Amino acid sequence: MKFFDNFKSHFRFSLYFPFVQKRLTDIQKDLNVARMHIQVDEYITSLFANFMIIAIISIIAGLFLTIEYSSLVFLIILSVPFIYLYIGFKYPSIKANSRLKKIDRHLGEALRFFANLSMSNITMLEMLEEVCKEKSFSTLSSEACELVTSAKFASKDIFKILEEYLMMTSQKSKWLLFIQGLVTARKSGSIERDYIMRVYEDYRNDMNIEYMKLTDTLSMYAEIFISIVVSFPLFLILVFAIMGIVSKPAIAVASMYYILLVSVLLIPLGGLMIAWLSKIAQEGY
Amino acid sequence: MEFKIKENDKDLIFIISSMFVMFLFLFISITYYLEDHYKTSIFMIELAFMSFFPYGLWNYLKLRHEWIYNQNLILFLNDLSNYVNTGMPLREAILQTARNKYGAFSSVIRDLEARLHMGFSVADSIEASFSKINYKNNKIVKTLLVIADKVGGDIGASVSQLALAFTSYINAKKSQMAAVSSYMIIASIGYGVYLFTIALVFDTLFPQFVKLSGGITAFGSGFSLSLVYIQQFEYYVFLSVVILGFVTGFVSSTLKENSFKSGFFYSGIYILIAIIAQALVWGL
Repeated sequence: MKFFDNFKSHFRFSLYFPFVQKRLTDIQKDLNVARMHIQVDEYITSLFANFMIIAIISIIAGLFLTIEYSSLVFLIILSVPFIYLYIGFKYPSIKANSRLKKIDRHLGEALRFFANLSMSNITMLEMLEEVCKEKSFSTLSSEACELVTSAKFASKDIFKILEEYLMMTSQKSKWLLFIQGLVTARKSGSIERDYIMRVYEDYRNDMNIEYMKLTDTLSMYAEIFISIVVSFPLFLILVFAIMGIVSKPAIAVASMYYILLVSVLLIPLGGLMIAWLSKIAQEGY
Repeated sequence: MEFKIKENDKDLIFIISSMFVMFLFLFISITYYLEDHYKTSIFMIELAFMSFFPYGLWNYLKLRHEWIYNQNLILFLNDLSNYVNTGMPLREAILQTARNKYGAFSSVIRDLEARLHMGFSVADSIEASFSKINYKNNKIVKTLLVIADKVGGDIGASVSQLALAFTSYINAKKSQMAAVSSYMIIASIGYGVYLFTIALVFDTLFPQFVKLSGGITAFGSGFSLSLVYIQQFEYYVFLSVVILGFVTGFVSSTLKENSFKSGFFYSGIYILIAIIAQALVWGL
C-alpha cells in the first residue's frame, strides 16, 4: 500500500493541467457533498495514477490482440483509459447528485419530524441531533449526523455550519433549498419554527399529488410486469414448444433449452427488476 | 443471564433454516430429475420455493400488525391532543386516554399507565413503554412525546401537530394503498392467465397436436418415442410456472406493501396454486 501511495504521489503534476485546474473547486465541492472524505488533489493524483496503469495495460493488451484481430480492436481498447478518466472526473458529481436525491426521498418524513420538533422549544442543533438518531431517515439522518459532528468539532454555531454546507455545493435539491430557507430565516431575524411549519404545510399540500404520481408509476410497473414477464415468456414458450414438437430432435432439444432459458433467466430477472424498481419508487413514502 | 433473541437474529435464524430446507429440496429435485422422475422433481422444486413461506407469513403478519398498530396509535394521539388542549397536564391526559380501548396499541398504553401509577416520570415511562414495540412511527412518536415532555413549550400544540401530521400521512397512505391493491390484482390475474393457458395447451391441445402430427414429428408417430421429450417439455414449462409464481409474489408484495420479505408469503400462495394446477393437469 505504501508503494502504491508513493507511486500515486508522482502524479501530482496532473493537478497543474489547465483542464484540471478549472475543475478543482467544483470537484472538491462534489467530493464534500458526496461525503467521500478525500481531498481533491489526492483524488486527482489517484485518478491519473490509475489512468496510467490502465493505459499501459490496455496498450499491451491492444498490441497482443492486434495480432489476431483488426486494428479497430486496438483503438477500442485504447479508449478504455480515457473512458475511465472521463468517468473519474464525473464520478464525484454523480455521487453527490445521487446522495442529494436519496436525501430528498426522505425529506417528506423528515419535515414531519422537524415540524413536530419545532413545536417544542429546542434549538436547531438539538433538532438535527434527533434527526441523526432517527435511522429510518437513512441518508438524511447520516447527513444530519455529519452536520452535527462538524458543528461540535469546530465549536461553531450550527447556522454557520449550515451556511458553509450550502457554500460547499452548486447542486440543486429540495434538502438544500430547505437548509437555505432556514439560514435565510435566521439571518432575516424571523422565527425558524414558522419557516419549518410553512415548508411542512407546502409538503402536506403536495403530498396527495406525490402519492398520485407514485400510484401512476406503480401502475406503469404493473403493466410492464404483465407484458414483459407474463405475456412475452408465455408467447415464447408456446412457440418453442410447438417448434420442438414438429421439428427434428436436435431442434427439439434446442427449443427445450430455450424454454429453460426463459424460465430461469427472463422471468426471474424481469420480475425481480420490476419488484426492485417499485421498491425504490416507494422509498420515503 | 437472560437469553433473548433479537429481532434481526430471528430474521437470520428464519432465513438460514429456510435456505437449508430449500437446498435440501433442490438437491432431492436434482436427483429425481437425473432419474427421469420429472413430476416428483418439479414437485420438489415447488416445495423448495415454498420453504420460505413461513418466513414470508411471519413478515406479512408483522406488517399487518404494524398497519393496525399505526391506526390505533393515531386514535391515541387524537384523544391525547384533545385532553391536552383542554389544559390537562400530559400525565393526566395519558391516564385519561388509558381508559379507552386501542386494539393493538393497548399493550403499550396499559404498560404506560402502570408505570405512571408506579410514580415514574412521564418521559421515562413513555421511553420504556414505547421501546417494547420496534415500529418506525412508534419510535418517532416516542421521541417527539419525550421531547415535548422534557423541553416543555406548548405541549398541546405539539401533540395536536403530531396527531394531525400522522393522520394526514395515514390517510394519504390509505388512499394510495387502495389504488395500488388493484395492481396487485392485475399481477395475480396475469399469473392466472399464464397458468390457465399453459394448463389448457399442455392438457388438451398439445397431446392432440402430437397425435395428429404423427407423420410430421421427428420422433415417429404419436407418443411412441416422444413421451420422454413431452415430459421434459412439460417439466420446463411447469418450472416457468413455478418461477413466475415466485416472482409474482415479490411484485405483488412490493406493489402493495413495499416489502420484499412478505413477498415470500404471496409467492407461497401462488406456488400452492401451481401445485394444484400441476396435480390437475399432470397428476402428482
